[in-house]
Amino acid sequence: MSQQSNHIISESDLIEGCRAGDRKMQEMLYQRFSGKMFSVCLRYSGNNDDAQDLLQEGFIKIYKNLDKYRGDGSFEGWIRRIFVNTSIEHYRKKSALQKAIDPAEVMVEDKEWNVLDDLAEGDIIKLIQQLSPGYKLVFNMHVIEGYSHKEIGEILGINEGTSKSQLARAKTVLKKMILG
Amino acid sequence: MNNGFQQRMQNYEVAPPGEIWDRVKNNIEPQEEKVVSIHSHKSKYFSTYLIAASILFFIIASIFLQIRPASENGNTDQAEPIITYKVANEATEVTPASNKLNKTSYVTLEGPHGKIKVSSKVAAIFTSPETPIKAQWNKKLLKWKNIMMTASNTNFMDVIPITQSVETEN
Repeated sequence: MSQQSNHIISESDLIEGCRAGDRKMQEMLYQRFSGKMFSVCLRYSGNNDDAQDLLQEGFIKIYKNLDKYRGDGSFEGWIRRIFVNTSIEHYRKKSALQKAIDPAEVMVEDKEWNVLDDLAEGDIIKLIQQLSPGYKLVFNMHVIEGYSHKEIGEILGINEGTSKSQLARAKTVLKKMILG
Repeated sequence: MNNGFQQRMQNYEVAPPGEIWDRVKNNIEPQEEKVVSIHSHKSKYFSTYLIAASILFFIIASIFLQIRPASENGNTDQAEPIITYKVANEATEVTPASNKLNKTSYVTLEGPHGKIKVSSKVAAIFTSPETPIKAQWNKKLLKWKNIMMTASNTNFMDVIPITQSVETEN
């Protein structure tokens, strides 16, 4: 199935087709979004195999929950949230966020931090994958997905200060990885 | 971290291995199963109608079976049924002068229980009100009469009404 023919079909037709159980439409939806969503999975996972499992799990959730999409926001945004939530759920237990940080060691976020700007996306993903689960979660959610620290705290069940500290430490680790 | 970096990372695509779609496909409900579920919904009503029709059939059948044997038994035990026979074979005409059947070997008698074939001689004996000519036949005929002449819709005594009707016509 070519990418060109895939994009001729409108998003609403694609959604309706998938809801009706049309196998071709389901495959088109997969082809349209699998690339972006696989990069999400790679960022949240530690390796390629885990990322593949997350991709599979995420798409199954999407097909089974398409009736819940009411068209309020963008369809891609809805899909992305499902993948992010799936990834968070998968790695929440591993992160052990509260234990990873000393409350006295709260660090201030560096607003001017830009060491990743000059790197290629693939290289950035490889660096993120090397972070500990807690750092990786907070870095992805705040820096790339755009969640606030308050939202991260509510989703992960931690306080806002902990989220900020995790991010600051993640940035420090990444900086060391790049600059040595 | 600026929005440009965020957009760049969000739009970045990595092609997943081809077998992932196969794994996803095998875990989602195929289209055919949805059709089956609709069919089963319809068949639910169909089976209900079928059960209702079967019950109705058995009720009617049991009522019919209760009434039918009673009427049949009553007629058999009490009185000889009134049965009208006709001679089915065109060749079996009765000769008016001798009050005997013609030379045709057999007579086919047709009644509500089917057809029977008897020889014309036997028919002639039964039609005759007199004692048989040959004395040696008396014993046998008496035995036959005892067996056969009892009025029943299951033996050949249906011959009597037809012979009587033939006599009446003559």
